[in-house]
Amino acid sequence: MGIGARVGVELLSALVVGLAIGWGLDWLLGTKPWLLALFVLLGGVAGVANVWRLMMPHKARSTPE
Amino acid sequence: MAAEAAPKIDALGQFELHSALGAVGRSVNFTNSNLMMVLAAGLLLATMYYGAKPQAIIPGRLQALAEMAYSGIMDMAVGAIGPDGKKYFPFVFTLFFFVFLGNVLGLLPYSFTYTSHIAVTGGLAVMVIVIVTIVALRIHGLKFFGYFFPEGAPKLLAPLIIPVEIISYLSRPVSLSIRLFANMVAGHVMFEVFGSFILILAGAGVVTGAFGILPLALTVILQGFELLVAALQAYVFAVLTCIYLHDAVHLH
Repeated sequence: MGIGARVGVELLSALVVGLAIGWGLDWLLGTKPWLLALFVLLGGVAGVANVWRLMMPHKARSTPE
Repeated sequence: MAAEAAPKIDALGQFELHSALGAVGRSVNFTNSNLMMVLAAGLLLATMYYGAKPQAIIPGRLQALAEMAYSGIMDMAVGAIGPDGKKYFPFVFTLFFFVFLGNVLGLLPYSFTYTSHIAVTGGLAVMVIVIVTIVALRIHGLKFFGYFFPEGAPKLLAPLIIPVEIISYLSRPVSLSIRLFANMVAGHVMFEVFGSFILILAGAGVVTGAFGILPLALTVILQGFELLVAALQAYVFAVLTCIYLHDAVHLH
């Protein structure tokens, strides 16, 4: 429970969304493995960004530079 | 001897859907999950109706309950969204108590936890995110899409930042639904496993049967813990909805 589970869920969900988008775009455009690989990476990045926002919500907002 | 009628641990059988209400339910696919949803909605409506009816200056028990529910969620909505959070109060209130009653009613014996199905939690989370997006588009119009590219970030990084922000935004309903669903499933699987331990130990003989008291005690403790998780997860679901609404109203 607690913060560890939340971090895990955030990481996993972003990865799942990246996977789904990559899979869907590959299926639409017929570029079989490439967009999937790209969007899984982007999903991992988004997961880290989510965790960053979860951990320091005020710092991330007050320092735009 | 040990092989005969040894109780098996069937941890996931409790999440199966069955048709409820006999032949009528079977013909329209009315499941036990739907039955619990109707029950929860009816219970909430009845509590609020009969709680609000007396309008006594010194509230009775039911009225105090209804007033505390109202003011608690109102404080949460106004605190998290801002002064115009009142507009979104009915949505947050309904969402909180639908999830809360689903979690708590699911703890009763012979009932069914509809929040343990990702179809239900996913449906709720998608509804939340669609409403949040509509709110943001109505208030800010096309400026809402600036949300995906923070001001002051170098233009060169746009092809990287925009997809990441979009994925991050779309991952909200996924994390919202997985969190609730996973907590509910984990709790009920633990109940089933420890409950089965009691039967297995009790069935294994007189000496080991005495040890059955240990999983029994653990199940009692677990019941209290699950009550906490049920309330907490409903609260988390509602609070995150409020935070997303805050983001939609203020766009940072």
